[in-house]
Amino acid sequence: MRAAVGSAAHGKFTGNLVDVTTGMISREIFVSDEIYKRELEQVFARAWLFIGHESQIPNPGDFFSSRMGEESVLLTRDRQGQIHVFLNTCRHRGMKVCRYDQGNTTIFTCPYHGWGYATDGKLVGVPYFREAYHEKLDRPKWGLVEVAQMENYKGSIWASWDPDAPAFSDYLGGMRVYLDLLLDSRDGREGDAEVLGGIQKWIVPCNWKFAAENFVGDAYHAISHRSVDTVGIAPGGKGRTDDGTTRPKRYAVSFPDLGHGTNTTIQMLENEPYTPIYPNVSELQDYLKREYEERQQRLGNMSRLLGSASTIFPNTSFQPRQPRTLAVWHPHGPTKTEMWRFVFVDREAPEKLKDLVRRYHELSVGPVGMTEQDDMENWVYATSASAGTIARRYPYNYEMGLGGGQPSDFPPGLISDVPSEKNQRGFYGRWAEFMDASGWSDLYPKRVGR
Amino acid sequence: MAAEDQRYVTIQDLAVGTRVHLSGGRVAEITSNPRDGTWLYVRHVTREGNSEALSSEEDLVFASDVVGIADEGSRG
Amino acid sequence: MTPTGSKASLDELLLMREIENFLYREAELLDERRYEEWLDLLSDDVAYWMPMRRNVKYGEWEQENTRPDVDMNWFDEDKGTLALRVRQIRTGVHWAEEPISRVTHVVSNVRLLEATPSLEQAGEVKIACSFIVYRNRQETETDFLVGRRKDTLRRAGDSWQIARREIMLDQNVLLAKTVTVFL
Repeated sequence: MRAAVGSAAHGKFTGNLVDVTTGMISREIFVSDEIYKRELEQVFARAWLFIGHESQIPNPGDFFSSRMGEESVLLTRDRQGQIHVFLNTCRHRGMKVCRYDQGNTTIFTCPYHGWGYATDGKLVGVPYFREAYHEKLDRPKWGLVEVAQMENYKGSIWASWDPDAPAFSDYLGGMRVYLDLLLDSRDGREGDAEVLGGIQKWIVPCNWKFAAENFVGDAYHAISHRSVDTVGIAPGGKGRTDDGTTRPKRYAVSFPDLGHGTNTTIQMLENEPYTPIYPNVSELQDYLKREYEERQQRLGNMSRLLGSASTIFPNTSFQPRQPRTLAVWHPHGPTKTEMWRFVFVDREAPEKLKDLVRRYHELSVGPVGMTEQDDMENWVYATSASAGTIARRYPYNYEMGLGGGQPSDFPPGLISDVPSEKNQRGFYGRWAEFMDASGWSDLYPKRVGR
Repeated sequence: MAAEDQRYVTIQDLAVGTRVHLSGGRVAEITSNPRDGTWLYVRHVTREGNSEALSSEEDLVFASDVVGIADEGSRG
Repeated sequence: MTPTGSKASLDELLLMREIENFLYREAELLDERRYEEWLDLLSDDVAYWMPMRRNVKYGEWEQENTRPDVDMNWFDEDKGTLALRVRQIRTGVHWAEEPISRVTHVVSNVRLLEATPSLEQAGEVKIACSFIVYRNRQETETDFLVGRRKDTLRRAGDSWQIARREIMLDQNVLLAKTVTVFL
């Protein structure tokens, strides 16, 4: 297949770049400048993007510098305690008004000419307002640019630049119960997670979609992690993870009309007894067992749902248990991505457990993590080996489990056997819809029966 | 302090409660210092007869409008 | 004792030379991929820490580095986990190091901060140094990891062991896609 960029086939920008019925996806979408620039507008300026977590800004005046697409944004809690997300740029000459990663302040002061903005975004300080502007500057009009929509979902903060985007809960759809696995407490209570200090940030010369599709449902890449599986970094000493799951069964679950997908583990029985997690740490066993049993009592059958790697379209991925992290794949260019990693833990977990969780993640995830280093190698050289004139002529193959998928109440969603590439096809199908749509009216309400 | 020095008061180091001379002759008391070297939150010192008061409204004062220190106030 | 850094005594010079030799030897073992011998240079209770570095407001230095034992760090390891990393490279299928990288450690600006109980009878020393770790892999992929270290070395027989290592990498967003080298 030779997919001409922006060809008029089917009257769509994406033409035959993405064909989910045959499972053929052009390499162009991973390397083309033109497609990338369109993504920034059509995908990143429209979709709901992850910003940060409430626990990072507990007090009035707290801020955390985050990103949306290629751009720097500020997550703030104003004097009244309200949370905001602003573009980090002065309205006068564009200088970043905050160049700190985090902190607490009453004012974001542009170091260029000195315009100052309160933590609620209002332009409060204009040097020589009387003498030079003769008090004629309409200050309320020139506050920081605020996102069109912001949502605090169980402490996780999301935002969209598009006022027409559906409400976050509609955008999330059936994916919500899987995100809950990350944000809820391990004993089944709502919310109650916090983000550990220290956000991993690193630059990887690959297309952002490699990471997104890896998390959306790639259960096929076990060989990537052969070395860490052989060595064993799990708390019990073997493999990558041993999260107390007995007799697990795995499914690929997707929401192709929304672009989200997850692999999930479920336990076969609702009353499966506790299997020790961190089995070598006897002092934690009472806590972990109680937590496990309370979860069963609170959630009943849903306690069987344990989740695994997941992606919320477009660039937010997470793993809800072990590892328990959220990653954002910030685009910097068609072949460059800034990856961020937030590590989650129950706020009320014993310090000893928090310490073990922290150490496990330091060993496992991100650029220094023994598991993910091997992912990065693959994503980087897949990107560079796809950029050539000849290479671009040959599509990637997403035929695994073609067709497939059946609606399911439990685990909820469109389920497929593991491994399959149903989830990835759903992700790229949605990506193509975003790239072709003239606006949210083309994208939502969801079309049925894709 | 020499007059020319006073034009470059290092306002980022001033403690809350410090009173500063502003260009134009007014005096203000620092209520909050963002330590950005650019802005100070103040209340203006007003006089009615012999009694002294602070304005109820907070004001932002720009660095170059701070021409000197009137009173160090009680630090901390 | 705390060296003054001014006029060095003969004891101090001898001790410095010994320490420098140790650091260069360590670098050589890593560059020559003799990781097991490198592990032998670590005390059993070694603490190996590399924080993430934040951009913070002037004066808020306590926020600048992530904290060991509390925050997520790039490294906060013990000998057991460092040994796991060595074993991972030795599988030959650790793709991020297969084919293996070319690495050179440059160590300089070595300073003796403290020797206990004395310069003459030093059983433990605290030292500081600067490092440049150059990694080149595949055809053109190249990383420079530059920063400073503070090490605590403990005398072990006629050599030394590393009991604690603090690594201050001068990067905020990590510019390398992976850190598969020991620093």
